[in-house]
Amino acid sequence: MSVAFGLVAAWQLIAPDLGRDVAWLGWGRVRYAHTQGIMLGWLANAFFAFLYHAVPILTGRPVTSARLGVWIFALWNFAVMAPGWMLVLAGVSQPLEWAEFPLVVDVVAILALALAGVQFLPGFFRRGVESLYVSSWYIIGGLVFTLLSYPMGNVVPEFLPGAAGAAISGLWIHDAVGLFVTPMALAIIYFVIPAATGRPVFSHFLSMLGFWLLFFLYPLNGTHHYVYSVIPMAAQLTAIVASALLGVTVVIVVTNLFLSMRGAGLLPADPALRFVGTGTFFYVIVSLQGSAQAQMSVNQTVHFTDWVVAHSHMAMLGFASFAAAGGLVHAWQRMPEARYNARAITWAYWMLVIGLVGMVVDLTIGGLVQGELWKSGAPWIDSVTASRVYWVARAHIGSILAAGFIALLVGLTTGPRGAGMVVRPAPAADGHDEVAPRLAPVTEAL
Amino acid sequence: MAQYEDRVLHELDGIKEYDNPMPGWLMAIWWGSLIFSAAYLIFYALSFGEGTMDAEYRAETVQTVTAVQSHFDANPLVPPSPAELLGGAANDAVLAAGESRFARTCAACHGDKAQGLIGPNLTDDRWIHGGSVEQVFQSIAKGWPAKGMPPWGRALRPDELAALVSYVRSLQGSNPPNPRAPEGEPFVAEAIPGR
Repeated sequence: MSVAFGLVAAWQLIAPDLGRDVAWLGWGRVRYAHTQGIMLGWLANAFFAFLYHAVPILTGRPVTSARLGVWIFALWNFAVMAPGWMLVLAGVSQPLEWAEFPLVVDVVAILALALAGVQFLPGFFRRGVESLYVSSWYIIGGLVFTLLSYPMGNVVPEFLPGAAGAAISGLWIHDAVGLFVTPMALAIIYFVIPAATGRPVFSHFLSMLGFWLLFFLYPLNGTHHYVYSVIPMAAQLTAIVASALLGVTVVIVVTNLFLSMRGAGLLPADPALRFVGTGTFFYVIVSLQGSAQAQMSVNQTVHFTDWVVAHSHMAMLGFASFAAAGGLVHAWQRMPEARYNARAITWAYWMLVIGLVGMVVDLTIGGLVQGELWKSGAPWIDSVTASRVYWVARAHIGSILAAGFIALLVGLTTGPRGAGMVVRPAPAADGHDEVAPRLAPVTEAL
Repeated sequence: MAQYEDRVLHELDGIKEYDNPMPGWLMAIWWGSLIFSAAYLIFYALSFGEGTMDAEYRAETVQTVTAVQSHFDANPLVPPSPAELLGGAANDAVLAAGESRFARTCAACHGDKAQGLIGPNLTDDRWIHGGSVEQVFQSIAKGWPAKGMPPWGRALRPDELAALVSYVRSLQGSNPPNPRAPEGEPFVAEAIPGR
């Protein structure tokens, strides 16, 4: 659904009369439905689903309550997503980026997030801090911070005028990505890599350093959306420095992850490992790009252009959606009753990779063209004319991505039950450099 | 990776983690970035050097103002003769250009048919600041800022200014609907040659 909204928005850029007389198909409305849908409808649901697989393993006990689980699912999908989409499409929304659902929906979302905390967190605290694995840290951090930052970004700016409200909203724009999506995606990646390879994560020290740096630096980061604006210079400088250091933090995290994947190969046979490995790759690229575009000299050119759209697609799709897909496939491989279609999953992987790379390259070039034209002082309409070729390409590439997501849905809902099952990897005899994916024959036939 | 002892720190249901130290090269990158960041923050927060945003802004402002001033010093605005302005009112191409510019620049205050809105009616025979084409040209170019009419002499090209005057002259006596009440002194419009 969210991808379909994105596709409509992309087509409207090259066929402006598309749905001209249908108010709810207006570009401004479907764009909100697209971004909110991707973050809260697709990623949050995928993350919660993965937590039901991971949290019992990480805590050694079941989640708080199955009934509570039904409640959280119902609240999130029927009291947050459904009314949120309907209100946004009906024209009732907040003009706040990544927070377009109106206040009445925000209240339910905050309640659902609080209930998710009750559902997933108590087990970690009962187990004790010493035995917490890095994924556990990320899950705790992500849920706790989101419960705090969601009201900060969705409610507070509504009551703060002008630049102050914008500054708070800017913090949320990055907290949504950095303190909700990123920790959850990293929790999945840190979980899937050792579980799928059967080999330990390279270094607990690097895991912890990356975790604490992420949560220390990210809250300072959001103001980099307002470089060259009326936000005080000290806040801009702090955000610029924090963004640069965050790039180094991501290098630390990704070094740890890739050292943990040593021997698994560039294109692991296990589709879950392949998804999270690719997600890790895009994570380091998009983060270093983010550090660069927070710098004033780069920001001057790319701000407000399609370069930023390419950047956010690499983050939410290349990094987070690949991690989420890897997490779901990994959980599916361990559920005998789950349907699984290996061919569709392979197709999904390749269409998503091709679509994402195509879109990022296309919009990055388009963004540079727009930025240079704007700086040259050429009439605005010249930049629109010049963008056409990139927008046409983007709309078509969007179809590949939509097909990729449909293939993922097909892969996880059709096919024989238990077809994805893998034999649990036994501990390697000496615990050293031996990769043991130990896939079941049906998956190896891939 | 022989230099790492690969001691398993803890294990959860098949998920294990080594207790390896940070690789030296990564440690070097980390400390290098921290030191560079601290230096960057001090350098820019205390506004050393030319590269700060504030200095950049001031420099660009001075540069732009100077460029604009020198352009108009070199190309002073010469008002066209009344004959040229009145001739334009008989030239369809000039009138089309004037109409297009009027719709974008003037209609917001003077109304889409020049019938007057917050600005005066331009179609009747009364003029607050003089109704000859020369006086209208001066009103557009220099404006009457105290009354809310901005000066357009530097914002529009000379041919656009002339086209506007010709277009306004052509609207004389057009009697648009919902006109604003007449203001100012009566003035008999100059004749348009050939019409």
